[in-house]
Amino acid sequence: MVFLSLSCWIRSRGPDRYWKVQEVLKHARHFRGRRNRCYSLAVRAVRRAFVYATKSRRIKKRNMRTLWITRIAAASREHGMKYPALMHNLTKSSVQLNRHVISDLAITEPRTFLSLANLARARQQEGFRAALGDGKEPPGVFSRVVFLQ
Amino acid sequence: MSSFSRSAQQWATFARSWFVIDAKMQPPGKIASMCSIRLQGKHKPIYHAISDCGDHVVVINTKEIAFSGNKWEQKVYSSHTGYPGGFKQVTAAQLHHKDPKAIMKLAVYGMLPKNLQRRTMMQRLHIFADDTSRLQDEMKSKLPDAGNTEDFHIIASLNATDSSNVFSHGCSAGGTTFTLVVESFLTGDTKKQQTARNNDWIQVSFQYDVSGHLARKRFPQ
Repeated sequence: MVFLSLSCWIRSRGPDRYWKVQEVLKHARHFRGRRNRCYSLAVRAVRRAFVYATKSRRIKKRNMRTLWITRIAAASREHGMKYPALMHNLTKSSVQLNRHVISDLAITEPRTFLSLANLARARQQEGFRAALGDGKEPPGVFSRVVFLQ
Repeated sequence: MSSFSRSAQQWATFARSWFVIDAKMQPPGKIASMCSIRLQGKHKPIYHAISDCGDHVVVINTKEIAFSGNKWEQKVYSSHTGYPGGFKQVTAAQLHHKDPKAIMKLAVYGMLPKNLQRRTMMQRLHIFADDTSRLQDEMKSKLPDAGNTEDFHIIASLNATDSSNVFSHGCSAGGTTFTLVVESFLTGDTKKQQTARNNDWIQVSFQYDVSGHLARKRFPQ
């Protein structure tokens, strides 16, 4: 330890405390109480906020999906179908639209949604006929075998 | 649809509608579940919990509600006054005798989500023990633009058997000449109705078809 003059006895602490503190406080400015001003309180609050944000990125996807499902269920009930029936019959008809798209169609494209509901209903009736009926083709329908030949 | 302005379309989409449900000889739980769906706005494709999209629901003839089974004697409604020894239990029959609206109200209250909006939704639920003779006055006082109107047209259809539900419709006040734009998400058709002065009172009653193998009992007289 060599201090050659008085000025060297003065230890210089970190010059940039202000900016390090501001880095944390800028994320806390909209908090309530002293947590938006005082560093010790803000540090804890900011860390908690970041933890919540991290966890919520996964939860947001779940919430969005339930919202889409609620909306699709509402729209399909308007057309006399229930949500499980609609989705199951759409997948059976190999319509690969996800719930996001279908819920947006239900809001902004009502006629498209109506046609999707009709498609699902027709597929549902076909399923019932296949399960309950006698295995014959319904009248007036050319079978695929005949057509392809 | 393309001929209407964006503002008119939006107005029709987000308008708060009125539904009328007739509870005569109906199980109160089933009616309550339908009420709660419409009060929350879950019958609309534009539903969101914070967007306050619930509608008004009017339930009439609640004194003629019909429980199945022996619920009139067996179902118990409990409450506590807060004082010691104040635990009260009344059967459904006794409660209905005291207040014919209470069963319906408690049923709907229990089916709504347990948050702060529940009270607001309950304020939008209007229950009448008997028929709709007082409905017109009630609606006149509840609707905001009830200034110089004499009669109301309720355009509401709630029919479980056919699927022609128009979810977005509103009350138009006879006497004023604004145009009611009704848009149905069902077909996308918009019916533009010019309201005309007309003294007819349209009452729509809800026909709910439940499989009748359960014997439903009216309130014992």
